[in-house]
Amino acid sequence: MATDMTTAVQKPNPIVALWNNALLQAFLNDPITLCSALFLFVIVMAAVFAPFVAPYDPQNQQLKLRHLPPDIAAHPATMRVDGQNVTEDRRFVLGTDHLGRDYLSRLIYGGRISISVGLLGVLVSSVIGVFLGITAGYYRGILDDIIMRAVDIFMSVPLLLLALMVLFILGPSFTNIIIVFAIARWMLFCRVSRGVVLSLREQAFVDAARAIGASDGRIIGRHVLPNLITPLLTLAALEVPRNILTESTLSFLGFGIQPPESSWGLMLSQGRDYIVTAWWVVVVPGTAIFLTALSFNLFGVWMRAVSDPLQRWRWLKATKEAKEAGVG
Amino acid sequence: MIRRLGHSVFIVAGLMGLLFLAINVLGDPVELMVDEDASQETIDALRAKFGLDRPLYIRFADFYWDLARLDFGKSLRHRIDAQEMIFDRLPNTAVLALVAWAIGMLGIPLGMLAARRPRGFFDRVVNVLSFAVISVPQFWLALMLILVISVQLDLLPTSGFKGLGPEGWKYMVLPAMALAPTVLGRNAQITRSTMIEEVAKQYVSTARSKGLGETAILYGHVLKNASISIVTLMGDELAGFMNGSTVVEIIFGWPGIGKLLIDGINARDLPIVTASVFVVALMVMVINLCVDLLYTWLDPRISYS
Repeated sequence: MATDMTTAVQKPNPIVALWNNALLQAFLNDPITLCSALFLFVIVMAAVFAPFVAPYDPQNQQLKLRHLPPDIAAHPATMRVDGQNVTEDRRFVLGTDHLGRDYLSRLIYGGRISISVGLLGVLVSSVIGVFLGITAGYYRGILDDIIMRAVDIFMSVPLLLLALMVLFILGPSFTNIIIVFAIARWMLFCRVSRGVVLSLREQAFVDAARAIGASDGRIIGRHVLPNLITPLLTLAALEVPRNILTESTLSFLGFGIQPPESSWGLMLSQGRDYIVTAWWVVVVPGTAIFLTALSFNLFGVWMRAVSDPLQRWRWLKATKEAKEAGVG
Repeated sequence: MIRRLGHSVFIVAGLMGLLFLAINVLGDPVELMVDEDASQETIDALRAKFGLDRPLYIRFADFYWDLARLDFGKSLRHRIDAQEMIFDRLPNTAVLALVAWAIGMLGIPLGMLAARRPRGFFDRVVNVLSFAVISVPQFWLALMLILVISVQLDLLPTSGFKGLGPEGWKYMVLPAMALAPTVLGRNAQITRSTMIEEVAKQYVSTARSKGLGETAILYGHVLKNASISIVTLMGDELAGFMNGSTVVEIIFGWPGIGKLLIDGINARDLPIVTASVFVVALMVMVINLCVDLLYTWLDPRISYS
């Protein structure tokens, strides 16, 4: 550490400066946050590069090999290639499902849908929410009243009820689930951004910008939006797991993702009938949902802690103390 | 207070209005009721039978008039009054939700104990565990409970319902165990963070400087001030009972409102769907009103005059 410091003083190296960044140090010194971030990285990478990561085709059925428990032994699988039967040895690390499909490959491809629903849902609902929140907070007046009254109405409806209503009317599909999140989750982003805008518009630098003739668009773009990024990112990190859980519930009930597409929730719903004979078809996707949601939650909470000046001080202090005591 | 009540009625009426518009303008109620391959005659007959050939504004007024009288029409599938079915199922959902909610209250003392020494060992354990339980999908927890407790250990029935009386308790244990952890985790979290926040405030230093003991400060002052946030959350948890109980009712075959709604949607039974949504919205409204009343009692500075 001491050598790092001297090099940093002698020649300001950006990498060393980044390394000495208190935030990064706090991050690296917190094993729980570090683990959840690493886990999320692995899951997201696996979802993005699913065709390269997944060992086999997730749709390929091997009816002779149905419900194989997870193990590393090789099993002969027969496939038709160019009209001829070809046999190859396959290893089903996470077992197979009721149609003899490789469960690991299905998990990876299912994660693709589950995670994109989580992220896209947050993206769409946050864009709508932030737009309405800024409009309400910046222009006030009757617009503010109408928007906030709408927030009240939507806040008082249970999420699942609203989701079921929307899917009942529009029918189940990937796009319609995103629409559900847009309709049912924008209020949180609206509230947060309105709150930030309300406190900002009274501040001197916004007055100054207005005094030199900056347009509303410029004030919002240059002065308001940058101040919104941290609270919104924190909220988003906590909203993604909620969306993933909701999607899995909806898919489980049959109102979400439809076969042949697959998500973790749908895998659980298909595996439910075989729970007694093949425990892994229920345990595996559930664990995936659980660990992903947990990692997002822990990471989101860490972000909230370090972005709050009071709590951040406590975190950084704890890191420093740990380091001085020779732990960390 | 009357204004607050008017506000709640407005919210429920607004929600039902949206549902009506969504069904009648975005979609077609007859198409929601019949199968895809229904003949034109069937569709026309249904349209005439339910008066759907009348102009929209008349149907809209009719819709609210029916809601006000709690008259939802007959279930298309069961040929029974939807109202009767709803009132039949409501106690089942309410009892299950209340039991799970009561177990979830255990999170409050846990959060209080954790807040005594922030970042201490116990605090960290409670913190991580509470995040773990809110990250578990409730329906998965339900399946796991069936797998371990009913199938492997053979202790309790996998699903079913034998009334709310003493002989039915066996059937309620697992559904309640599937629902409670989420509530418990959230309660622990909010209690913990609110208490830590409150302890940092000035009045605590004042209380300390006048020589008050830590326990007296924590339970006499801090808890009282933290109770507003905790009550808000408890109200939200109770108002959000549908979120969890719907899927848990389906898994355990518990005949509640959630199961009724899902079955109604699957059977394209519009009267049942409307009735369930209306009753749930009404319940949520009543719970929120009660929470608001509690506020004025907890913090006299808040008033709804």
